[in-house]
Amino acid sequence: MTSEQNVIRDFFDTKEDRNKLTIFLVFLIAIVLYHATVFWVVLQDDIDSQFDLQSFAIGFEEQSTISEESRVINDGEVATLQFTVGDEVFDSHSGFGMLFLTISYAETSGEFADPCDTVSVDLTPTGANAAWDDERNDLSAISSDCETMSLVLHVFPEYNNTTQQVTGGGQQDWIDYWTDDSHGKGTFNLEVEVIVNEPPSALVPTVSDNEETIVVTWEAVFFDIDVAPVK
Amino acid sequence: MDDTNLLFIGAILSVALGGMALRLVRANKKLDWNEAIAAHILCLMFITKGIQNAATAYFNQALESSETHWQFWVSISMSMDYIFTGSAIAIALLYPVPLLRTIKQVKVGLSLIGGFTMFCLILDVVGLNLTAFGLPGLLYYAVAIIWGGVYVKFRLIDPEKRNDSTRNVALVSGLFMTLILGHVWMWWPGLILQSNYFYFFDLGGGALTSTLWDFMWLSGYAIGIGAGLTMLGIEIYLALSGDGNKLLYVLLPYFVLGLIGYSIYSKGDDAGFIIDTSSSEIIDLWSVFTTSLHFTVIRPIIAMYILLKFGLFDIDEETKPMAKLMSIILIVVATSALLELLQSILPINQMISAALLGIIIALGLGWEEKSFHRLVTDPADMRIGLDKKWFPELDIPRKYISRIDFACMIYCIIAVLVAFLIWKMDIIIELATTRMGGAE
Repeated sequence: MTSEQNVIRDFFDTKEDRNKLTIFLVFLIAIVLYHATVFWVVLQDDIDSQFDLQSFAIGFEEQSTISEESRVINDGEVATLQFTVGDEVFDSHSGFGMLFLTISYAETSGEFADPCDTVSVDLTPTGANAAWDDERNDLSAISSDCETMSLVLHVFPEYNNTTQQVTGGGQQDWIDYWTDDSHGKGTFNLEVEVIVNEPPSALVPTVSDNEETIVVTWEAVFFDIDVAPVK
Repeated sequence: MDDTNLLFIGAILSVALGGMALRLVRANKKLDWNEAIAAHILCLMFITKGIQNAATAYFNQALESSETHWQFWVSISMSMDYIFTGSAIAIALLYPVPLLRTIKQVKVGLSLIGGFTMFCLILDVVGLNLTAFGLPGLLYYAVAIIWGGVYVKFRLIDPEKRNDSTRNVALVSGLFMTLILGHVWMWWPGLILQSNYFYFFDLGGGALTSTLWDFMWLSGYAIGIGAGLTMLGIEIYLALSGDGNKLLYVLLPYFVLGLIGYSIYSKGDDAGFIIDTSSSEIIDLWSVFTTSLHFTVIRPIIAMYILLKFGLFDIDEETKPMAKLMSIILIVVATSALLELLQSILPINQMISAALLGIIIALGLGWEEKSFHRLVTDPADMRIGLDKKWFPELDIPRKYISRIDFACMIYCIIAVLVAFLIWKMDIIIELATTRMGGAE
């Protein structure tokens, strides 16, 4: 290659040019080496782990609010009992986890050999936002022997009061996920129907059994969460 | 206005200006061989960059749906980036000073670049895209070393040999480097201060690109910043010595914005311009107003300035209307985009912003009239007073140079077919599944 064809020679033709361009190239090499050192040595662990997913342990601490209500229900009547949790309770907890109901009654007619009445209860999926379709729910029951009936409704989806280990996202993401006061807001409706079972002496004019007293206990289980990174 | 809208504006601007500029360049018979090739490639570079901007914007939109056609757009975007890389390297080898000095060197040089571009496209098809085989960061290495070397050589030439031509050669080199590397310069403190936002930069996102790929790409950024800091230092030194150049006013904002950007980016977890949906609003805004604006608006402005100022258009009575139309499009689209961006963050009434837009455009057109006249009547020369050895005479007929346009068109058609293939064969999804261990 002749001199005229070789541009490199023209670039480095004088000592001054050589010095200037050499300083420039050495500076570029120094920058590249600096970058390589930081990338492969100083920050290597951080860079390698930048896409590692962080795991978190999510713990729940439960607190319950209980309210009791009794209602006298006539034979053949379907009564609706309602339950609403105040906003201040939502404000002081992360979420409304579950709702437990116990429905109890006894034969109160006082008549001789009067059998227990038949009571059926049904927690209807209206009024409040909850995980109504959760397979673990127990939303209706019937009793003819004065046995206490229990119903369960999972209000906050996926809540089960066991410490969970999750992977991915950030700590705040999980706190946000488990802090939602929309679940459980509104009014729960419990329909109670009483069918009176007459005593054998019912033919006697002074003997009658035409109502029953039903006692319903609403236990609203709220939870507070603790999200801790797992190392 | 979000990043996606800005990409569409950039696409319109680049394709429109690139297309019209190509027509003017083809009509200019006065260009020397290296100028003609460089001007052709520069115009094609902007047309394809416009296509890439549009493809990236469509990719962003497609990600919001559950369908897989985003692979088509991402493939188009990548293949257009290959041609951008090849174009920039080819221009650097030919303009402002041709480093390829013989027909043989030109043939070999351009063939290697064309071959490399096709090689990258083949890597996409065979599922080896975003691997070290594609030499990520090559563009930045080439630009920093070639244009950086030309800049240093001519800007620091002996004072007795220094003249307007040497300053212009340095200016063009500096402007081209700004065009390619401007967005990188805005992260210079991150490189020096070892910030996460620089070193955690991951263009592919997660395990789709290997650590080696990320390193090679970032290494290109590092050398680009090195070249930029060198130019800034030289310009400040020469300005203090009484030999200032307008390049200083171009470079300085990028490096000052880098300082401001350091304090903003350091507050978030995101790296570079890879902004995820959960990033804070301020980082998002900063990225749109700096990096995205550079990609979509500043790049066409710089290219337009080079084309007009350095005589790559032959402006006469016949071509003047189109050249003026290009300037007007640039001003109207750029100012309206900027105002829309401002309107998205400032509580300005739409009627007020419409009136403001009218005033700004009127002022801009007035300024355009004056500056356009100055640009075309006083083109900068790079040959007077320079040794002829820097500009060897080669006899390359224009019909051969015009074939570059045809070759580019063929490449684009192949790229569309490849993108279709990649989409239908789910190549990128399979790649992501393999590299990310099951996650798409």
